[in-house]
Amino acid sequence: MSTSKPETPAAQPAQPAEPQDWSSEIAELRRRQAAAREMGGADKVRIQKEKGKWTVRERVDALLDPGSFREIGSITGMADYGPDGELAAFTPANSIFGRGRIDARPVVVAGDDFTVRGGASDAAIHEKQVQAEQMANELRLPIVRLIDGTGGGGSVKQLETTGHTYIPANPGWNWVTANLSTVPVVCLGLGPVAGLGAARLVSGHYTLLLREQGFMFAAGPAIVSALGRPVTKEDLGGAMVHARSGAVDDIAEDEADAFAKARRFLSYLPSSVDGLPERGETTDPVDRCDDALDAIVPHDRRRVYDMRKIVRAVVDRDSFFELGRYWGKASITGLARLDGWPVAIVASDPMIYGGGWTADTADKLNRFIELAETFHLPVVHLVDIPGVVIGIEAEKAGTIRHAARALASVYQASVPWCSVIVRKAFGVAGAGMTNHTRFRYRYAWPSGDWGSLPIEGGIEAAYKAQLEASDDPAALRAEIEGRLNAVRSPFRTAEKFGVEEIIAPRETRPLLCEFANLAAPLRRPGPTGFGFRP
Amino acid sequence: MAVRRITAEVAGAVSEVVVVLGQAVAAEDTVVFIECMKMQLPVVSPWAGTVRAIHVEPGALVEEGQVIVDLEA
Repeated sequence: MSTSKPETPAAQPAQPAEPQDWSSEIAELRRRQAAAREMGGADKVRIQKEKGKWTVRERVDALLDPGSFREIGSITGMADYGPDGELAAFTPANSIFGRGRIDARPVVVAGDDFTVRGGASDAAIHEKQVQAEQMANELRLPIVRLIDGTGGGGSVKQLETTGHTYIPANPGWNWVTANLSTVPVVCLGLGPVAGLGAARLVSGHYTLLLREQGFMFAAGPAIVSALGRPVTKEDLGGAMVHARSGAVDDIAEDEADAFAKARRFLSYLPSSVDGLPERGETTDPVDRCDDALDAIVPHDRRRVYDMRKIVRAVVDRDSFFELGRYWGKASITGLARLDGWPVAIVASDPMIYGGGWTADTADKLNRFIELAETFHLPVVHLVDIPGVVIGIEAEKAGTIRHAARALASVYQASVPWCSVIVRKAFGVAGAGMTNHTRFRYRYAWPSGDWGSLPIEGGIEAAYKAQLEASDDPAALRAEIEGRLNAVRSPFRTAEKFGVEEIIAPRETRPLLCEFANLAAPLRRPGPTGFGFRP
Repeated sequence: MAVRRITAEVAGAVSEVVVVLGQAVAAEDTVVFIECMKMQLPVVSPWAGTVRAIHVEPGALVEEGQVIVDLEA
């Protein structure tokens, strides 16, 4: 053999043929993805279904536009390998995320899988949750959290394997917090939620618990019952408990309802604070006048009426989406459309403390005005506020500070604002209907009734000496009340331009649609911030 | 049929009891009026049913969440 002769390829040692493509690896990828889609396995999935719950993947599909989900981290989990180095067993991570579309707009969705270790977060791979939040923030996309799992600590059993304790840190909390000022955050509590999961659930713009399936507590009934008084899961942290406490905004009747509500909430908002709420289609004429409004408020000031009827009559048909229905009930808050434009509606409910501000009502107003300001929604306020609620319980609750905080929100808000005085506006809270130093875009109904103090309660104090000196104080009181009532007509206020314009109630919708159209070009995208408030 | 409790949504003084024992009520019917913030605020039945117990009388002071009427519904 001549050393100068070049070797031919055929002379090389025999090796396996180089694969023509990557089909073998792609098949492996698909096998792993399929294994992850099995979630906790057939038995655990069956148990989830027997409880009436959907799996996390069914939930994602129900939330998003059909076929739009693109998972990120689709083969994450805990793997065991056989002696041959081949994958022998696989348990997927119990937190999945990705992006998809809702009404054709991209969103991020992150969901807990209860079928893997009961959603315990030690099986979650925390970095996935962190990346989901960061993705929403940096790509300026709304995020929907499907929460069905326990806290961040997992189990104390872990100590046996880690061999050390650690100082707790909430994963991704900088992003969770930043997202509240950046993108719409929707949180659905679809199972038992405690600890870190509970903190993730309430850290949103629209949050709900699923009736009979969703529970939330800092610590569950076993731990709380051990402290003394036995409690059930439902009484401790059931959906209605927290809808009433104000810890969540809403309840869902079933899984489908939860996803429908999430989609609906997002339909009123821009994808981030850098956008503006988009005008929707509407077939409701702007000049539709509801004659029933001219008769809805009783002349007898002691009698109430149904404010929700008024709201529904003036906004675009079927467009009202109430938030916080079960707490802070003296004010009704919700999103709606006027001539297609998304707006924030605040409306007093005279059935609850006459519409007066309680501490929790003021808190709800704060939260809602922040939402409107953050996402550039013009505010319409239908006003019937007899004042700050009085009495021992109200004082103990620190009502005045909460009320002053709501006032600060009203005065710090920069979104376009229109008030309609339906009936009462008294005292500090009544004055909080609007920031009176802005252009007063305001109307009053003929039922308008206002002042620093209501006449009914003010006579005894103001005419104390005269009433005490009178032989017939009841008759004198009636005479004084008659004199004062004679000047109570809203027309007398309007003569002096103390109220800008009195309208027939039936004209309210056309005027509010005009407001929404005038307000639309005034909305400014970008981040907003509030200063210190009481 | 179960007994359901109608509770007060506001604190105040009962000014009028509208229903009597054994009376059938429809959902949204008023069962009691509570005087509060100088107004007559209705306590409304969320359900249709029959009045089985009335726990208040005119003049009684009630707290938020207090049971007012038991209804068999």
